[in-house]
Amino acid sequence: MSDLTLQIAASGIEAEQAQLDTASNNLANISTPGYAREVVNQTDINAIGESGAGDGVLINSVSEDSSALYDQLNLAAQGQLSQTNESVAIQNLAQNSFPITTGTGLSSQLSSLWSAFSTLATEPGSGAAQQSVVQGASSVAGTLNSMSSQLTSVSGQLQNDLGDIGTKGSVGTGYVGQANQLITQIAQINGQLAGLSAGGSSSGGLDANTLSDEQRNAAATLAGLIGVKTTTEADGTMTVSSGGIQLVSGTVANEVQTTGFAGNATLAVETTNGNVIPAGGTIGALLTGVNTTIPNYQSSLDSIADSLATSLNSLQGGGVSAAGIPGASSAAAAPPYAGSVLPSIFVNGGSATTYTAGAGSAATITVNPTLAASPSLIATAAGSATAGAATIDPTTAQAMAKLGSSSNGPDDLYQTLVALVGTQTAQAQDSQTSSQALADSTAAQQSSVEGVNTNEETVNMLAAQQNYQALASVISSTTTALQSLLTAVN
Amino acid sequence: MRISDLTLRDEMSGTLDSAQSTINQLDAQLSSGSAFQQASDNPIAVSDSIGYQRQITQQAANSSNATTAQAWLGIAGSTINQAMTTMQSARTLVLQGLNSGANNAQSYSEMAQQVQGLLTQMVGYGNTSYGTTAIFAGTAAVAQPYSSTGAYSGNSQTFTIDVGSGSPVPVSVPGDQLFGGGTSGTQSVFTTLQNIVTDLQAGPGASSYAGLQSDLNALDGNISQAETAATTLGQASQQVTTASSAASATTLQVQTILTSTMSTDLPSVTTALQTDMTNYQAALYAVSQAVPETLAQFIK
Repeated sequence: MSDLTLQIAASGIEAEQAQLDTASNNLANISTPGYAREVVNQTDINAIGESGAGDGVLINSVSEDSSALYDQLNLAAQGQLSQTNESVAIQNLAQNSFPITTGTGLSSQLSSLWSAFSTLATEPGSGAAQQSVVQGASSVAGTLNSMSSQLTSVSGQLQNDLGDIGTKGSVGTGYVGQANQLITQIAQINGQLAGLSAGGSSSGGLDANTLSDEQRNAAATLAGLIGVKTTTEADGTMTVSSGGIQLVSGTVANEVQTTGFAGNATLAVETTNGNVIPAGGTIGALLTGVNTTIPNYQSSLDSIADSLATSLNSLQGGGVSAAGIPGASSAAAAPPYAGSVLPSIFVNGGSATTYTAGAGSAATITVNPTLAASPSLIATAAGSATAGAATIDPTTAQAMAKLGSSSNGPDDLYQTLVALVGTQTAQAQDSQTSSQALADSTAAQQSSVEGVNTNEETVNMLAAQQNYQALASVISSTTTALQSLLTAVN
Repeated sequence: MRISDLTLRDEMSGTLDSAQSTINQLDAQLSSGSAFQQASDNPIAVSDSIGYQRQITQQAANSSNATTAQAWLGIAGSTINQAMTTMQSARTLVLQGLNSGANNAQSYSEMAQQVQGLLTQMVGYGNTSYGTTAIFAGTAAVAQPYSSTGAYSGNSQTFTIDVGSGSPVPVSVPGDQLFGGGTSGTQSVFTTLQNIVTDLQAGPGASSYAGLQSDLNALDGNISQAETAATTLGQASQQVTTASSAASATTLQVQTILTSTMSTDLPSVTTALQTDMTNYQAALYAVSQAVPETLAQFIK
């Protein structure tokens, strides 16, 4: 028995103090995002004394209870979850352009147009019936225009959210800007961690655990934005890559930027040194939205406009109006006829006189102003009618009305488009649900290692407290024993 | 496995969120009366319902066309009946004229005047119109296809109306096919009547008798042509009636399907709401119990 006993007890008290501090810090950070539970690493000290008892306890470090595997799984799940969340948001925005309420929307306007043609076929010479056909055609064209422009504005909004188009090398705006801030931040933290590891002091005065918490948190946010994988090096620095392209390595930050044009669906995110990233996360979803989803819906709308315009224009061209004016390609317009011919029903844009099918036609389709000004220029009779002779032959008007029930006509195409938008939105929602479930379970697994549980910390705290008291008793009884010995000697 | 407090919190709020979201959807169904608010709620049913609405509109157009067609057929039919009565009167007068013993110049002249009156009536029938459209002008847009002497300025194409029964239904007969003349290859009833007048005006005699005899044959031909036209229109009328009732029946069926597709299923939605409310309350209770419970509470 010697003052060694007191030293052993003192080392124990120190260790219990560290346990109490750690439990207290864990409880304090119970809600801190990215915080990994800390543990005290302690070892016993070898016996050097005569008794063979150990020489107390040594606190090696206070380290984090983290799991690289669960960190990676969580990053992947976060990336997927953010991507599906954004996809659902994009689908919902697009879906709003296709209302399903009875009596509104393109479908009911097309029906009204066909009804107007049907009525016109029973009274081809009637000015009122001709007028209502032109009005019906105008409202269909107007709705196609506004649906197309709604989709265009959704696409514009997505590009805006994506941000940083054509500003190479700058931190930038939007989600790309946020990703760049995180990339820079991780590279900075890497620098500080490398400094600490080399035995220096952290520039920000932060300890390694706090720095790696911040690092983990930044990586998780970055995974949500763009989808990343990370590896932690021996010196504690984090290497971040997205789809095999390095974003952070040591203190080197490869910032990203948006390139390409939404117009030809070539928008992409690449690093400043020109490596295109197969981005996931929110940015990946935005790119898919701008490059694929919205253009697909636009081109379906274009097909509807094309089907409507080309079939009606062709019937118009092959027919003869009630007043006997022949369509350009009708038999009645063949020589020797040399008079004026009927105008097209639909044209691209206000000043055009013809209609060309193709990309962007839904945005520009409009009723020919010449026809809008004189609705009597609508073809109602067969092309074999005599040019110049007024006629109530309803053959062409009947054929126009029949387009409403034709398969693969504009109505069918619209119906298919609504089903497509609905199905894709529902699919996005399903993926979101399953990604959410995956992210929840991954987060639960991660926090089973890294998270803080109040009960556990409280138990540790109580144990440390009791040990502390026991060691205090050791000191007290050793002191008493030593005093008794001194008394006996004296 | 360690359950961190953060996870527990997330799971609890997640459970409450999803319960609330389900209740919210059911609420929307109940308050709107519609089973879907968005295409994604049930893409197939939404797409189907667009198709159903389209069918209903088409049937409405068919019904309205059938009404117009019936109006045309009604006017055409009754006009042809009147025309046949008029032709029968002319036939009676011709037979009277052929009764050699009972006639003199005076009675012939009176009969000629009567036939002249019948001719004017027939021209009136030929110029019958629906609204402002002459119905016996074929597809020519002329106000009066027959002049006062019975010259035809219409054409020989048939005006049709599409009532949704396959091919469009003829709702009238071109004047030349009803009254003869034009491209039909027969002598028109107006020429026949004019010939009768001329023969009667010539007074009794062998040549008049011969003329009246051939007029009688011609008139019989005209009457039978009008009868044929009346039969054609009768068949068309039946076709329109069938199409019209088919349109009504289809509308009713499709409307029923549409309603059952689109409308909220009240019993099942209210039951589901009840269940979800119970679950929600249970979840709320569980959260209220679990959140404050930790070991820390029991340390004094």
